[in-house]
Parts: sequence; structure tokens; C-alpha cells
Amino acid sequence: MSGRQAVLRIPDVKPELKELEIPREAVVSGDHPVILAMADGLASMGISVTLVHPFGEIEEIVAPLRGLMEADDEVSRKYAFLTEKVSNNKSIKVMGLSTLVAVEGWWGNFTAEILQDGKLATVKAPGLALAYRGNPKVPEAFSTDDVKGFSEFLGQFDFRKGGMKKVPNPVKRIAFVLDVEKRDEKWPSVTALRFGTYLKEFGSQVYILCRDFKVSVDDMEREYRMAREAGVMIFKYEDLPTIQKGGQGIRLTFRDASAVSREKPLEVTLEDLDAVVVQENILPAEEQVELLAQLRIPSEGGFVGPNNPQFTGRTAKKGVVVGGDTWYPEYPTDAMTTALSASQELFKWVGKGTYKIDVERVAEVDPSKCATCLTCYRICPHDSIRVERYGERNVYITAGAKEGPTWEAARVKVETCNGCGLCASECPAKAIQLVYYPDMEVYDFLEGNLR
Amino acid sequence: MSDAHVIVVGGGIAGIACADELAQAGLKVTLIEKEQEIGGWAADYCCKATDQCNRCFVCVSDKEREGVRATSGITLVTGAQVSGIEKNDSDYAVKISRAAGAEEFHGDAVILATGFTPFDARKKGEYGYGRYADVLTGLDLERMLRERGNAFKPSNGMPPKSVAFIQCVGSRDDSIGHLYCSKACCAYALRMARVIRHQNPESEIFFFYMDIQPAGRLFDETLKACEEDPNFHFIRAIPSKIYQYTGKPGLMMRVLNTETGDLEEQFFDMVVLSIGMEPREENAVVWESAGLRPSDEGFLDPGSAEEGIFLAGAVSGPKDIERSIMDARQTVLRTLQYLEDKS
Repeated sequence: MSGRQAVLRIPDVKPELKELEIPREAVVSGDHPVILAMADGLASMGISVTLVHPFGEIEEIVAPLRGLMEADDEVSRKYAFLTEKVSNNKSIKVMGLSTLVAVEGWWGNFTAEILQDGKLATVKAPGLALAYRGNPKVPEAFSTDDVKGFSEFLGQFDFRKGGMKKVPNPVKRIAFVLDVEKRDEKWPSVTALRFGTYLKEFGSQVYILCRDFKVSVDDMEREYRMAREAGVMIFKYEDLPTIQKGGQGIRLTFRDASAVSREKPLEVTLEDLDAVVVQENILPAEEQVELLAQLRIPSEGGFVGPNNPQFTGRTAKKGVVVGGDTWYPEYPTDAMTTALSASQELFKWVGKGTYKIDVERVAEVDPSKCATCLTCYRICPHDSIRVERYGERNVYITAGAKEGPTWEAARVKVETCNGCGLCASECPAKAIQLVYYPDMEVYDFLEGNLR
Repeated sequence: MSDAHVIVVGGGIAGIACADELAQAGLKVTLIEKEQEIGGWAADYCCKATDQCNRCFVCVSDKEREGVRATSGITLVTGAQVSGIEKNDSDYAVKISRAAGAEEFHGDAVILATGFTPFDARKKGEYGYGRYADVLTGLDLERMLRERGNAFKPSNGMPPKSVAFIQCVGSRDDSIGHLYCSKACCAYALRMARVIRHQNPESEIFFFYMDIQPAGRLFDETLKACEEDPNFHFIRAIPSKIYQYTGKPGLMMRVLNTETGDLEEQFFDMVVLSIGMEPREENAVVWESAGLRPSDEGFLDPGSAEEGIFLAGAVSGPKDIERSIMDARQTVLRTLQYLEDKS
């Protein structure tokens, strides 16, 4: 190769790519209610879905939403019938009491190891959807017995059992405390407002304490006003409220931030509270972190999205989509939009039943120049680079190697390379260039990957 | 299904994303846009990177637009105003008028992605938009940063030292019938304010707001960076009026001193009005033929759409770039499901 430019333009040899057949199948795994929407969305488009979930019954998947369903018709409308649809759909193979323990592969050919009844089953599919529930953790400042997290609190209500009407001691005075540590999640504002308004109908006095009330959700501004008109009290605080036993229950004290002066602050005390519900920090599920690591999908703090301009609404790995808390903690109706959007993304990969490379140029390593420094392996956002033994003998010797000189070099998997050029620009040995497919050899890769 | 033909009305980010997804699924797409160029409002927005990417998604929209231009299978019809939709059995006829005359396009389904109108800041006369040269809207600042690269006072071309951002101009405001949050303004305003701070270290930002609305993961970081910046002041109060004294430069406002609680007169070099989104006026008229009703907010109610007609993006309510793309994708899934059921 001559010249040092990153891109070799040889348009004459750009091949017409033929398409190879792949099965129209996908594995959907997780314990978040949106897996039902994902499975249903894909199955309705003729994709055969294997639905892997840890519960005994499909009904249990929507259990965390039952309290909310009671207070929010939209959540109820969007989720209630899904259980039935999924149970009755013959193109969905449901694997209950199962865990996806390991996954490997690339778009077109993922291998999923599923643990069911102590037995390992292997399922192959060209596409993968993951949607797990995060672990809610009450922030330390509020971890006392008097305080409940949202999920624990809502878990007491179940619309199938008549909810509030059946709770023996309805909460009389309740405070929701939001924005304790995380301020960029909207679900607590929506949940507190909708559930608070619902409780108000049963005569509860409801307080919502937040730093900023999140109204950037459909219809929220209107509901925010209606709730205030109905007597739900909403306060803004700057420093965290303090919590004590007081009066006949719990006492919350804080400085009202909407009082205009810092010199003469307005202290607010809420007494005799019989419930304090605080926003938990949602930590990513261990299973999700493990699977993302196996697939080498980059995430920040264990969540894949949103807010990555490079991969709007998708992951860095072709053929893998995520929803639920694996994406980011969202209110169930927003999570539904995200999940359906993810289903469409996955449908695009597996829907046509054909496999084709959709980039014009790919990275290629010159093994005689490669110093096996692993820079490209680490930075490749598409998990397309491995270090293998191939090509000419590589003269570099790995420090501390016992068996003489090694001859490994980085190698790009053509079928998953996106042609982004990150590796080519970062390679210290300048061993990587972007090239058009040099010849039909690419089909060997393709077919090799599908085998 | 693969020989189906879908008509997408509106070439903004949502319409572009729809056309792209449909074409990738192998369908024929006609994308109708009333302007001469596709891209919509996002084509005017600026990159909001400081010394790092601040995740404003404007580059995504630019990329998607170029992608659609280059895709075969998408027919672009620009400079075309839609005058109505007619349904005959499962055929949809979208009637348009353009310079060349009236035309009709037929498809098996229609996606409406006609978006929003930026709030006309003149409707809030107290802010003097249009009268005072240095009162800008968020959109003006977007265009200024995109086209000229840096923020300057339109009156004299100098970089502004003290800049006020007034949030919720045309949003969360029942006095003009807009009882909704526009969802994008806190994010774009904070990010552009950071760009101004980055360009001019001596500049000072005064951010007047009601509630900060987050935009996605890592927004906490943006917010923290602003709060820790000593030249960045958050004031939870919306000023009521902008005025000037004859012969004196600068824009005057009575603002809240958060320490003492007193109202004080303060002058600013430049004021940015963070305008929100309004429903398109023509929506109500044109889409009656498709049986669409307005929602409480005045946007189109997706639940009212007739079979075979779908909504994507901000036409059904305010959305930022990322949410518009996500909404477009779920709309495409619904459209494909509809076509699949029919075939």
C-alpha cells in the first residue's frame, strides 16, 4: 500500500453485494414490562420471537405497573392487554423462569445461552432485544424505616384487587420527595403527580417536594395545574429536607425555594405524615451490565441511552436493541415509545430475512505493521476488532511471553465494521486503512459469520 | 407489503427519519415538503459543542437529512403545499399545490410529520421583540451561531457581556392558551448559554426560569457545570418586561435579587427569549379532511387519526430532536404493521 491517507478510494472494485438469507428470528430478554411490547411488536411483523423472562407466569411481567395502572389510564391502556396478546401469539415462544446468562456473536448470528430449570439451552438468532428493570435504591440521606421508595410504595397497590379501596388504612398525609440525588429523570414527577392526584380522590393530603417539577411530558402541565387546583401541594426545595419522627408520624422540614429571599428564608414543616415516599436511585441490573459487557456495548453508568448522538436510539452493536431501564429509567408510557422504536430498529435488521453489508468501505489491518497494542480493539465502538493469528508472521514479541515470538495482529471483522475510521485515525503504527472491499472474498466472511 | 407506497408529509427531522426507515424496509416513499429544501427547523440549529460535545443532536439531524437525499426509493417533492387528503378504500390521495400546478400523490398509507411553528415572540409584546435589536429569540441565536459562529449584539456587532435567557416564552403560559411545556427549550438554552460562556470567558449569564426540564441522560452534568460556573446565575422568576431609557444603551429589566428578595433594576447587553413550539395553524384546516382533531394543547391528537393515517414528531405535541426520531421509528413500526395486516 502506498501513501498514508486513511481512505483508499478505489471505486472500480466496489462490488455489487449479493444478499444472503438469514432466519427472521429474534431473542427478547429481560424483566421490564416493555419486553411484552417488544415481543408483540416484532411478532406482529412476522418475526419468530423467543421471549426469555424470569417469572413463572407472563402476568407477572406487568406486576410492577399494577399500582400505576390504577392511577393512570394511559399506562393501563398501553400495558393491560399485552399479556394476553403475547400469550396468544404463536410466533412468540415464551421461556419463563429463564435467565439469559451469556450471549455472543454479531448481527446475523447471535448465540444465547439460556438457563431454564437448571438446564442450559442454546438459542441462535440474528437479532437481540434486551430490557431489564433497574434496582431501585433509596438514597442514603433517607434510608430510615419510615421512608419508602416509589417501587415499594406502589407495590402495595394492585388494580386487580381494587387497590386503594381495599387498603385497610388509607394514607392520610403523604409526602413524595423527588430529585434527591438524580435530577435528570422525569418518571418521579409524573408518578408522584398522577398517583398523588389519585390518592387525593380518597381524601389523602398529598405533598410533593422537588427541586424542579418536570412538566416536559405529554399533558403534564395541564395535569400539574389540575392537581394543584385539586389541593395537591407542590413545594420546591434547594437543600434536602430533613426527616424526623414528629407529632403523630413523620416530620419533614425544608426551606421553600420559591420564597423570594435567601436572607429571610421560609421554613416549611410538614408534620404528622404517615408516609414519605422518596425517589430511588435506579441502579442498572447486574444481569444487564454483564450482558452489555459480553456484547461490548458501551454504556455510561450501565445505561445505554439516551443522549448519544452517535447512536440515536440504538446501541453501538448492529442487531442489538435495548429498552426499559437498560435504555434509561423512564415513565412507562415513554418507555413504551422507546421500546417500540427499538423494535422497529431491530425489525430493520432481521425483518427482511437477508443479510447484507451496508457500508461502502471497511477498515483493514496490515498485519506486518501491527504492533498488537490493542488501541483499535479498545476504541472500536462496534466490537469489530479482534486480535488473531493470521497473515504474515508478525515480528513483534509480547513482553513476558514464554513460548518465543508471538505472531498475532489485529483483524477487522468486515461484516460488523461500520467504516467509521476511528481505528484508522488512532492506530499509532498506522497499520489500519479504510478500503473498499477489495474482492469477493468478503462473502467468505459473510457466510463464515452465518455458519 | 414490500411494494407498498407510503406518503410522508413534512420534511423535518421526524419526516426524514420516517422516510429513511421506510426506505430501509424496502418501501417506496414520497416525501412532501412545503419549503424548497428538506430539513425543517433543525436545519437552522447550531452545534452546541464547547470543548466537548454537549449532545444537542443537531449533527444527527444533519446526517439524516443527507442520508435521505442520497437514498434511492425516496421521491422528494419540495415546494409543495398540501391542500387535503382523500381516502378511497385503501388508497390515499394527497393533494398538493406547487408552482407547477396542482398534483395528486397516491399511497397505501400516509404519515403526517408536519411539525410545529416556533412561537412568535411578538405575541409577548412586553419583551419588545422586533423593537429592540438586542432582544433575540432562541431560534435567532441558533441561526447566529450556525451561520456566523459566534454570538454578537445585532445593534453593534460586539460580543455581549451580560446575557439574560428568559425561559418559557410562549410555553407554560395560559394567558396565551399554551398550557404545555415545549420540552426542548431548557436544554437548548442552557447549551447555547454554555457556548456563549465558552466563547467569551468574561460574559455573564442570567438564566430566568420556572423549572429546569431535563433532556436525557448526562443532563445532570450539563446542569452541574452551569451551576458551578460563577458567572452563571439561575433565578427562579420570569421577568415581566424589557424596557430601555432614551439615550442609554442596554436593555433594562426589573429582576429578583435572590439574596435579599428585592426587585432591582438591572441592565443587560442581550436578552434571549427561549421560545417554544406552537401548533401549526394550517393543521386544523388541512387535516380536517383526514378526520384529525386537535388535542387539548392544540396539536393533533394521534388517537383521532383515521385508519392508515399516522402522526410522527412534533405535530402531536412538542418534541426535541431525539424524541422526534424515536417517535418517527415507532410510527413506522405501526405503519408497517398496518400494511402487513392489510396484505
